[in-house]
Amino acid sequence: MATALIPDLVKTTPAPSIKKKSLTRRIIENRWAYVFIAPWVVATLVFNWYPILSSIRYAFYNWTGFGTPDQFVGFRHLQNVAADPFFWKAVGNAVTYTAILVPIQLFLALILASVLNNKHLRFASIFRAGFFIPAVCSTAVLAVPSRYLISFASKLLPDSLVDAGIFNKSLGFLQDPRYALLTIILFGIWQHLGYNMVLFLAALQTVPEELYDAATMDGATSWQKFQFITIPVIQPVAALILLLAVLGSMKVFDVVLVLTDGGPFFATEVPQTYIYHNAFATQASVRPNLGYASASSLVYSFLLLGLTVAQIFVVRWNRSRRQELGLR
Amino acid sequence: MQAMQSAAFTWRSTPRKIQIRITYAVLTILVLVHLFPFLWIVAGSFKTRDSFFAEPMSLIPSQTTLQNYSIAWQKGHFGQYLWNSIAVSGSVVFGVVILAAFTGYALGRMPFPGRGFLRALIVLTMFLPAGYTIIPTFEIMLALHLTSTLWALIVLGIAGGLGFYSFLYWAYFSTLPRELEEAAMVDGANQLQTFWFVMFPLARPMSGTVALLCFLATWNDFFTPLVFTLAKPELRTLTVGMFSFLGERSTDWTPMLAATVITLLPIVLVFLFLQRYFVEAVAGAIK
Amino acid sequence: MFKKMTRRDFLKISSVAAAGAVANKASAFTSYPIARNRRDDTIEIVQWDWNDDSEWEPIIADYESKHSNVHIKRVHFDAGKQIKLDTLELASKEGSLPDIFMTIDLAGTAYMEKFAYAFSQFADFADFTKRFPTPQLDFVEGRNVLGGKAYTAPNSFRSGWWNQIFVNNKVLKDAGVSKLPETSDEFLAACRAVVKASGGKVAGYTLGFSQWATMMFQFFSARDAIVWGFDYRTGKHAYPSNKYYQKMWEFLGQMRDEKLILPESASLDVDSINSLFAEGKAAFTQTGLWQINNWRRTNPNFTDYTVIAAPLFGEKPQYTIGVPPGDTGTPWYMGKTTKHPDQAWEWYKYLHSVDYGKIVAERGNLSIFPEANAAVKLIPALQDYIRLNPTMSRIYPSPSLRNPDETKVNPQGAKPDDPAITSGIFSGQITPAELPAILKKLAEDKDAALAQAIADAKTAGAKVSIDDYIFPDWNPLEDYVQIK
Repeated sequence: MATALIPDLVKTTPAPSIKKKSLTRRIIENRWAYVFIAPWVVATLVFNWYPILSSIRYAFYNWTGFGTPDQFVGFRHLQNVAADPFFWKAVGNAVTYTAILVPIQLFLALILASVLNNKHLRFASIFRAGFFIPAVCSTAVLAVPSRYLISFASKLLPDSLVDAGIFNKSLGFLQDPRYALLTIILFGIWQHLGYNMVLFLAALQTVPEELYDAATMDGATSWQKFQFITIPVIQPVAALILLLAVLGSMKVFDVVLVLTDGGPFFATEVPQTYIYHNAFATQASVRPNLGYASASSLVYSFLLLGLTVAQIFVVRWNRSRRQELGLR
Repeated sequence: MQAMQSAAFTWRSTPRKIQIRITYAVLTILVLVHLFPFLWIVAGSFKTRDSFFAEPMSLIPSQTTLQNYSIAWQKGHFGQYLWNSIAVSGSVVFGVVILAAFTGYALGRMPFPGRGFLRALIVLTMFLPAGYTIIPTFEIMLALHLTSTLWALIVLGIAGGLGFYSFLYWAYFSTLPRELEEAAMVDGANQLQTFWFVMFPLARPMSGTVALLCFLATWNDFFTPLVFTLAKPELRTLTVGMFSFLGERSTDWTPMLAATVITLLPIVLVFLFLQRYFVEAVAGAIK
Repeated sequence: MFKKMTRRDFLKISSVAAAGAVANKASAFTSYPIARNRRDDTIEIVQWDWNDDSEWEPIIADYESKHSNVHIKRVHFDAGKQIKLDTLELASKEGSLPDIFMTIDLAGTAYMEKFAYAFSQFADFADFTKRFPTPQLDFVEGRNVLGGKAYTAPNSFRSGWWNQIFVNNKVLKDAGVSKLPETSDEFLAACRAVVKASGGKVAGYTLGFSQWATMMFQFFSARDAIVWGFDYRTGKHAYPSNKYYQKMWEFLGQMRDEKLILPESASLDVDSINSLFAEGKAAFTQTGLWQINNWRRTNPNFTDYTVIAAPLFGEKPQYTIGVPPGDTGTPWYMGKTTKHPDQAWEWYKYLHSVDYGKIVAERGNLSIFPEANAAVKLIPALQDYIRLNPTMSRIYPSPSLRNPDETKVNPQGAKPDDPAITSGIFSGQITPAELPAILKKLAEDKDAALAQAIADAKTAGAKVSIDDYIFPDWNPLEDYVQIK
C-alpha cells in the first residue's frame, strides 16, 4: 500500500556525548538493540536479499522456470528487451494510463476531500466510507465481476451511437482499441479515488483553522482562501500523493490481466503484463522464458528507479516545508 | 467570469442549512453511483440463473434465491478458505506489529553502533526491484520444511512487510520526547522493560496504523498463497479460492457473484467497523 | 488516533487469532481431516486434475465402494492454468508429488523420467497394453515410452483438438439453411442467412473471450495451413509461402465487417459463450468435446446440435490437425514418488479401462476403446464426429521422438504472433493490406528464434541441429510413422 514514508537519513538522534564513549561501551550499553533488530535482519537477508540477488542472474540465461538454468546468453536478453518495440509500446501504454488517470483521479479526489472537509457536514464519515470501500478490496477479485458488468453495460448503449460509428457492438469496450485502455483507466480511477481522497483529507486537516479564520475576517472568498492558504500548505503532501499515484499507475497489473490480458493487439499491454506474458507463456507453441522475463523486469525497474529517486527528493522537500511552516 | 462570480455569490448567500442539504443530496447520488458495482454484485448473488440472464442489470431481482451462497460455501469450500484467511492475516498482523515495533524502536531511538548501516539497508530494501523471486523463496521454505503449511504464508507475510512497517515505527519513535524513556531508565528499567512498558504503549496510534495496513495487504495477497498452497487446496485463502472457483465453474455466474461477496464482505465489514482507523492509517503513512 | 483501541485490546484480538491458528494446527496447518468414517488402514491416493468436481463424485464413490481400503483424494487445479512443469517441479522438490496426476507437458520429454512412475515394471503391464486398439501407435518410444519404460497411456479417441465446429441445428433451420457448410463461402453464406433471418438478433459465429484469438486461428488454419505455421518438410515457417494464411485472416475481417460474429464474443468467457450458443444466440461455435457434458449441466434442453469440420478455403484439404502418436487426450501419470504404487496402479488401470471409457462416452466424450464408444448410445453429434475425424487429424512428425535432446531447444516467441494477428485483424488494428509484410516478418522472426534456440542449446552441450526439424518425406494428409 502506501510506500510513501521515506527515511530521514540525515537526521541523527544520538547526542554528541554518547559518541565519545568507546565502541565496546556503546555496544554493551545498547546490547538490547541487537536483540530487537535481530528478527528483522534475519528476515530481510533471507527473504528479501537472497531471493532478489539470486533472481537477477536469471536475466543472463535461457530458463523455462524449472531445473537449473544452464543456457548462458550474457546480455542478449537485456539488449533484446531494449530493442523490442512491443516493450516500448507497453511502456508507452503505462505512460498514457498514468497521464490520463492521475490528473483526473487526483482532481476528483481533491474536490471530494474539500467538500467532505466541511466541519458542518455531520455525516461526512459515511460518505468517506462509501468512496473508500472499493480501495480496500482486492483489485483482481473486483475486476472479475466488473468484466461482466462492462459487457452488459455496453449492450445498453443506444443504437444511434452504433450507427454513428462511435461504438462498435461486436468489439464492446474491451476489444475496441479506442476504448480498451480508457475502460481500464476508468476502473483505476474508480477503485482508488477514495484512497487518494483520504490522503487529501489528511492533508487538508493539517491546515491550521486560525489561518482560515483570519482570512475570513479580511473578507477573503472561498476560492482565495483555497488559493492562498490551502494550496501552499498542502503542496508538499500533494506532491507526494502525486508521486505515489504515478508510481502505482506505472506498475498497473491485475486489472489489465483480468479485463483485457493486454489485448486487443497489445493496445493495453503494460510492462507488468509484458513481463508476465514472457514468464508464463500463454501460447501453446512457445515455452516460457523466465530469463527474458527477468531481463525485462530489470530494465523496467531501472526506468522506474528515476521516479523513485524523485520520490525521495520530494519527501525531503515535504519534510523541510513542514518544518518551515511550523507543522508537525 | 461574471457568471461564475454571481453563481458563487448566490451559493454563498444561500443559507447554510440549504447548502448542507444540497451537498448531502449530491454526495448521496455520487456515492450510490460509486458503489453501483457493489450493489450489482450483491443483487446478482441473490438472483437465479434465469433471472440473471433475463435482467442482468437490475438491482432488485424478481426471483431471489440463497442457493448461490450454499453452492459457493459448500462446493467452493469457502468456509475453510475464510478460516485460513483469518488465521493467516491475524497471525501476520500479530507478528508484524511486535517485531516491527522492536526494530523501529532500535533504529529510531537506540544509538547502537551499526545503526547507520542498518538504516540504509532498510531503505534500500524498500526500493529493490522485485524480480522473479518465487523459486529462491520456495527453496528457502523447503529448507525450513514449511512448504504446504499455513506457516509458510505467515512467515512470508511477516518477512515481506517487516521492513516497511519497521520503517513506520522508526519514523514514529524518533518523534517521541526523550524524557519518558529517561525517567524509566532512572527507575532502573532495562531497555527491554522501557520499550515494553513505556514506549510500545505510547506507539499505539502507529500500532493501529501498521496493524490495519498489514491486515489489508495480507488479506488481499494472491500470489504467495497461490504458490504455497498449490498442492493443498484445504490451505487456500479466500482470494486464491475465489480464482480456483472461477476456473472450475465460470458458467455459474450467480454463484461466482456469491463467492465474490463472501471474499469481499469480511474486509469491507472490517473496514466499516474500523473505518476511522483505516482512514487515519492511510493518512498516517503520508505524514 | 486509536484512542478506543487499547494495546491490551489489540493484543487480545491478535493473540486470539494466533492462538486459534495454533489450536487449529491439526487441520489447517498440517493435513486435511478425513471426515468420513474410514478404516484405519485406509490408503489415500492423491490425484491432481483440473476436471469439474461433479464429474468425479459418482466415479470415485463407486470405485471406493469396491475398494474399501482406498480413498481417492482429489486436488482440483484451475482449468485455465492446468498442471504445468513448474508446479510439478515445486511439488517434486517438496516431496509432495501426487500419486496420480494429469498434465499435457510431459509426453515426449525427458521430464517423464523425473516426475512419473514407470508402470511398465508391473507384472501385468503386458496384459494392460493388450487392452488398447492399436498397440503400434498407443505405446511409442520417445513419446510415452522412454528407454523401454512406459510412463503414460492413451485414454481418449485419437483426434485433433478444436478442429470441429459445433452447429446449433435449430438456428440454421430457422434461417432456412438446409446444407451444412463445407467451404468458407458456404460458411459465410450460412452466417449471413442466420443474421438476416433473425433481423440481427442471432449471430453466425462465436467464441469465448479468453481463447478466441488463439483458437480462432487454429480453427481457420486446420485444413488449409499448418497450425503455428511450421512446415516439417522444409524446417521453415510457411506464413508467406502458403496463401491460405492470408485468406484466413481476410475471411475473419470480412466476418467482422459484415457483423456475423456475436458481439459478446469479445468480452465474455468461453463457458458463458457456450451457454449463449446453446440458447440460440449463434449458429456456429468452436469448442472441445468436453463441452457436451457441460451443456448437460447448464443447458439440459439443448440437444439439437451437430459438428462439422472447419471450413475449407481451397479446393481440397491441404493439411490436417497434427496429433502426436502415443498418448491421446490429456495423459495421466503416476507420481514418481508414490508411496502406494500398487493401489495407484489399480486406480490407473481403472482410468484406462473399458468400464471407465463407457462413463466417458456416456458423458459425451469419446474413449480410446471403440467397444466403450459402441456400448453407449452416442448422441448424433458424436456419431458425426467419429465419421468426420479421420478426415481431420493425422499423426505428425515429432522432432523429440527422433532426438530427445530437442526438448532443450526453447524458442522465444515472435511478436506479433498468430493469435496477436488474429486479435489485430478483429479489432481493426491490422488491415488486410498490411498482412503480406507482417506474415513475412513473422516467418523470419520465428525461423530466427528457432535458430537462436538451437544455437543456445548447442552451446549448453545439447546435440541438436536444424536437421532435427526436417522430415522431407512427410505428407500432412497421412499419418507419419517414424517408429522403429
